[in-house]
Amino acid sequence: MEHTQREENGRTIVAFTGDIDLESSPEVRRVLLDCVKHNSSVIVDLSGVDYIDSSGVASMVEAFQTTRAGNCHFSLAAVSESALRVLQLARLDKVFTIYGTVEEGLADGG
Amino acid sequence: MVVPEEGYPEERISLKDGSFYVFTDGVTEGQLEDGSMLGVYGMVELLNEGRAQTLQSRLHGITQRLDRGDGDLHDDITILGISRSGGTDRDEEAPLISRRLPARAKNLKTIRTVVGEALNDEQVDEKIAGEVVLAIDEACQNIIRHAYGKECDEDISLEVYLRGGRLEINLTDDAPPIDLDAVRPRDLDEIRPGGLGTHFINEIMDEVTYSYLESGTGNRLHMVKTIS
Repeated sequence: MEHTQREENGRTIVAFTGDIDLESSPEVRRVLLDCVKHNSSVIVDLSGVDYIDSSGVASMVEAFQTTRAGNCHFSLAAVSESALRVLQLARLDKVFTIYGTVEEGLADGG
Repeated sequence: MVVPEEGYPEERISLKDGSFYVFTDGVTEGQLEDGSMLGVYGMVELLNEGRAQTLQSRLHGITQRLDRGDGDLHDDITILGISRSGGTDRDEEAPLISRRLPARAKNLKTIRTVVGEALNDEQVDEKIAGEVVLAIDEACQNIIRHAYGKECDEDISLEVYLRGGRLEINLTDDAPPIDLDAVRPRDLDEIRPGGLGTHFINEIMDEVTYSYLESGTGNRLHMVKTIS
C-alpha cells in the first residue's frame, strides 16, 4: 500500500495504490484521519485500488463521519468496479459521494 | 537450422481449462480418408469435438484419422498435448485448495491470490470470483480478530471444493469456541465503521454455517456458493 497526497483548490487529494486490507487499513485510516482533522475537504483517489475489504471501508466511513462533523466534504473518485461492488455490498455507494475522476470532483467542489 | 543463434524466446501462458498442443507439419498436412488435407482448422475442429475425452484419446483420435493403415504416411505425425489433470473431468473429491497459514494479516493477500487463481483456473465468473475472495478474506479476518483475538502463529486452515457447480469452503482454526454474537451481522442503516465483514459473507454466500470442532478446540465455518 502506497499513497500520495496533494492540495488543490483548498482540497486534499489522497491517492492510494495497492490492496486496502486488514494489513494496510490501519495506515489508510491514519492517513485519512490525518487529512480530515484539519477540517479540509478530501477527495480519495481510488484508481490504484482494486481490492478493498471491510476494514478499508471502515476507515473511509470513519473519515467521512469526521468531515461531516466538521462541515467538510469527503468524496471518493475513480473507484474500480470491484471496489464499487464492495461499497454496494456495504450499502455505502449512495452514502459516499463518488466521482468518476478526481478532476470531476474538483470541478464539482467535492 | 531450426533454432536461431539468439536462443529461444520465452513465453508464459495459463492453460486454465484449455490444453496446449505442439505438432509437426506432418499432422496438418496429413491426408484424411477422402484425400483432403487435415489442415490447422480441421485439427482444431477435431480437438474441440473431443473436448470431453481425455487428452490421450483426443490425440489418438487425430493420429487414427491420419494413420489409417491404408497406405504409407507422407511425413511423420507427432503431436504433443499438455493439459491439466489429463484433460479428464476433475476429481470433485479432491480439494481445489487446501492450505494452512498462520493467522497473520500479511497472509491474507496470499490467501486471496491462491483463491483468485484457483477460481480463475476453473473459469468462475470474474465478478463472482471477486466476491468469493472477499468473503473468504473477511472470514479469515474474523478468525484473526474474534477467534484468536489477535494476529498469532496459530493456523487458519482453508479447504475449497468444487462439486457440481457448488463451491464449498471450509475454514477452521485452533482457537477456543467463539462467541457467535461476535460474528453476527449488524444493521446497515446505521452508518458506522466496523461490523461489515460478516454482512459481506452472508450477502455473498448462499449458505453460512458456524460450528465447533468436536475436539472442543477449534471453530469451523462452512460456506457454500453456487457458481453455475
